[in-house]
Amino acid sequence: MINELEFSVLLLGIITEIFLTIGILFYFFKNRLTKLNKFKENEQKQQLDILLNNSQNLINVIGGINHEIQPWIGTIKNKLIFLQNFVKKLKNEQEREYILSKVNDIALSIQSINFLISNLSKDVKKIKEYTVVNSNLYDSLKSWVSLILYDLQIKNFIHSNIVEVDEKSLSFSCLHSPMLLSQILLNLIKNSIEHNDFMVDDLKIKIYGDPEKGLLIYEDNGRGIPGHLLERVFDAGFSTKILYNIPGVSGFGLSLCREYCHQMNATIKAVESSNGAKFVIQFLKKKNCPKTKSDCPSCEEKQCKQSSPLMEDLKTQKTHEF
Amino acid sequence: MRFLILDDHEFYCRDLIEYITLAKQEVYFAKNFREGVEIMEKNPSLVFDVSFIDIILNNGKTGLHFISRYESRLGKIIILTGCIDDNTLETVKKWEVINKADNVLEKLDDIFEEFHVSSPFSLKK
Repeated sequence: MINELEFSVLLLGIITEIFLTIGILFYFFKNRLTKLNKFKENEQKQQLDILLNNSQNLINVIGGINHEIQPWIGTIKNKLIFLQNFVKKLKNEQEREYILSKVNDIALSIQSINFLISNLSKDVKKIKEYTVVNSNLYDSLKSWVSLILYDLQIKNFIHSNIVEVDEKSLSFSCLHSPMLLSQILLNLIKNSIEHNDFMVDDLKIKIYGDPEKGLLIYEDNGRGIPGHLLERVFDAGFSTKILYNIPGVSGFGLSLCREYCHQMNATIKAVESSNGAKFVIQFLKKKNCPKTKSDCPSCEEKQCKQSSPLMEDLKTQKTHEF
Repeated sequence: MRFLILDDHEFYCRDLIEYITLAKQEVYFAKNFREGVEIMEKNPSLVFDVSFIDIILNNGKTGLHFISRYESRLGKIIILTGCIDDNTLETVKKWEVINKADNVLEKLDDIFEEFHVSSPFSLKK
């Protein structure tokens, strides 16, 4: 039988032990939480570094190609000048004018190639400048779509709001670059307008999502893409505009979109649709990020020639925590 | 007038050499750093009025190495380059720069005019 004093001491001891245990547990979890936050920060920084390194590699490759092509463009231009000078001395006026006009056309074509390559270099440089964040997709989209439409309105391409963006289905977090996303949308919207012969009064574009799967879906009610060309449209230099005699062919818009997606560790596909053109962008979400490289959707679909930068980083870690 | 062209794109330089020759001016051509040095060392008293120097040469040498060695004898230095990246342009901003895809023959006409030499084609309108 214990007396009151002993009971009080015992109770005090138990209470002290409880508080001590709570204190130790609190300290343990706080420490773990701090480490986890630091881990997340480092991981994000590493991901960003990997993405920036990859884009720098791309810039270097484009720079190398550019460096080699420039002298050939210059050579052709110089030779055309010599040719022009020779032709000017021809006595037959008709022949002279005909050849000069062809030479002029060649010179303009060369200039276009040069312009295209310069723009390509500029576009690729933009990739490096665009930071990738893990945030709400709709928040990134809404301001960019407004700006794009405003810009197109200024240029008299459109006179009304032809784009519907569904807030509810696009309100999910995923890894993406708001700036790169804006470039992708600009390309897609411009393509929709151009492929519908600039007749935008009936053109409707819908952008909506699938939060579970981390998808952004872009649809228009235009001409659509022929089924057998759904993959080819992403080839650099290829454009369906040729099929429909639409001017202003560059053929690089969608291949750049694919590259922009790759830099965000996303994928883009053209899919069949009875309504018009339909593109699906798959973003990397926390939930569907697999633990092993073999489970990586990017690798399974062979969208990238090497494993995605994010997966390379993850496979070196023992546990896969978010 | 005496010109020096130091550039590893020989095919590109043929038209420059032909144009300068048509203008009845003297031109020396070196397709790499070593040949450039040979020209300068074999003729120590040789001084050029205008030098077209490429940045990226073979074997790890650049046009900048050449310029730093012989700048006092190169006259008006014009950098020829196929690079359009900011780093390169920043490095060579001290000199006039021509991109190889641009119209270099028109630039030659400007130089001829500056030195009161008749241009073969009178490209300037």
